[in-house]
This record gives sequence, C-alpha cells and structure tokens, in this order.
Amino acid sequence: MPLNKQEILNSIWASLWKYFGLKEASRVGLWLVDINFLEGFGIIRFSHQTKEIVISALTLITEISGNKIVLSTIKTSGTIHSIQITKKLLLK
Amino acid sequence: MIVELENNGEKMRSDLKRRIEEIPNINVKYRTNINPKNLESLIKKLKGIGQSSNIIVIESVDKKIQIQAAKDSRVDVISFSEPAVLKTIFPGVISLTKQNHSFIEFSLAPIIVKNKSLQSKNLRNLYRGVQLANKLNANYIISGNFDDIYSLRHPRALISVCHTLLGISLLRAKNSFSKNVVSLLNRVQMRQDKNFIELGVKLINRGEI
Repeated sequence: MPLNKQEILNSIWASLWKYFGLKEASRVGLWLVDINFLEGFGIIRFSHQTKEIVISALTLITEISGNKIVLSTIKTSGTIHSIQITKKLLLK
Repeated sequence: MIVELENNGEKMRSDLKRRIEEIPNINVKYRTNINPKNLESLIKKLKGIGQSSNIIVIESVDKKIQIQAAKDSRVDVISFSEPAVLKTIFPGVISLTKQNHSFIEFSLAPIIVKNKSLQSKNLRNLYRGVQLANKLNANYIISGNFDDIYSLRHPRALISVCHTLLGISLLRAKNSFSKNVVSLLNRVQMRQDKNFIELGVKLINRGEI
C-alpha cells in the first residue's frame, strides 16, 4: 500500500512523543521539506539542537500503517540549500 | 565483518567458509558463542578453543560463570545481549573484564520490540547496565544483534540512539561501535601470538623491532 506525506510526518511525531515526550518534541520544530517515494528519499528540517533526538526517533520507527519500514539518515546539513546540492549529487 | 554462526558453525561447510572469505574488500572474522550450563561445562568448552582465531563470547545468567569467564584470558567478550542475562550484570564482572582487557557486550535488539511494556522494561535494564559500565569505566561494545533485517540500522543512527536514550556521551558511543571493536580484534590476534605475554609485554627475537 503506498504511503503518503502525512503518514510519514505523523509517524515521526509519534516516535518523538513515544521516546522523548512533550518537552523534547516541543523543541524540535519539525518540517517535512521534500519527500520522493519513487526515489526513496526525503528532506526534513528541524532545530539543530535536537539533531540526535530526531535521528533516534527516525531510527526507532519500524513500521508505518502496517508496512515494515526503515528510515535511514544519509546526511545532515546546516542549510536546506547545501542539502539540495547533496541530493542532486546523490541522484546523479 | 564479524559473522556469528548458528551452533558455532558446527554444520558450516568448509567450501562455504572459503567462499565467504574470498569476498573482496571484506575482512571476515567469526565469533564463537558459548552458553555454558555450569562451571565444568565452561572449562571443558574453553579447553578446546584456547588458540582459536574466533572471537570467544560467553553468555550466561550464572554469576559464577560470568566471574570465571571474566578471569579467563581466552575469553574475549562477556555478553549481556539477552534481557535475562542483562539483569544479572554486577560491578564484579565489569571490574574483572577491565583487569583482563576483555569486553562487555550490550545489544540494542531488546529495545526494538513491538510489545511496549517489554520494550520499556528492556530499556530500563539496558540503561542500568550501560550506566554501571560507564561509571566503572568499562570496556564495552554495543551490537545490534537484530533478528529481522528490517531492524538493521546504520551504526551512526545507533550511536544517536545510545546517546539520547541510554545517556552515553557521543564520543563514548562512537568508540563502542568502532574503536573498541578494533581493540577487540587486536586482542584476538594477540591471543594467538605465542610471544605475547600480556598487554604491553611481548617476547621479541634478537634484531626484531
């Protein structure tokens, strides 16, 4: 069953809440910038102070809507611009 | 790459082993897991594998076995991967592994389970074990030990999990996935060397640097 953007976002929030609670989740400022289901990548934006928390939350997601899933971080960057450049290089 | 074989590879065909070792750019090491039922069984099993090139891992809920294994220089790792074994960790065994330059092993597999109450219980026990090892400045490695391929994660992601959920500093978490594993492999290599007496002491021939 194909996934949609909202399901991905909800599962990241659910994982943040489950493992780190309201206090940490409120510091994250999560934003799903880009998602491409065909190529299998996405870009999320969040506060740099919560980098480790977000990576952990993504790591601990094992399924979304009954589908077994692995969300793996490829690269973190300080700006969206530089991550877009990395994305172009990876998709070449 | 460290390969753990079922039944310690008793049924592994030699041609399969050769084919694995022929894969280019991969340095394959094997580990032998021993789950002794009593002290006699531990001593008996260790007798035959003293000069083995495999990483020798002991896993037992019995504290006496853990102490004996930690004292034995042939044992490389005392494993606390299983939740039932993890509960039995105590300062004595950590101290002995430090003296013997062997390693403690923790696994992240128990915290990636579906059952929420089991997951929180396992996390609590793992946190307790890891904090004890940190407090006593122990040499420890952290493995995934996942059964399901969908549970496999990149080591960098697991470092984040260790840092955020288990309260290990980032540097220490990184070491437990890389530097300590290299030290463990060096230990195995040194164990096979007859000229090696103990850490920092090695017999050298005249003219050898």
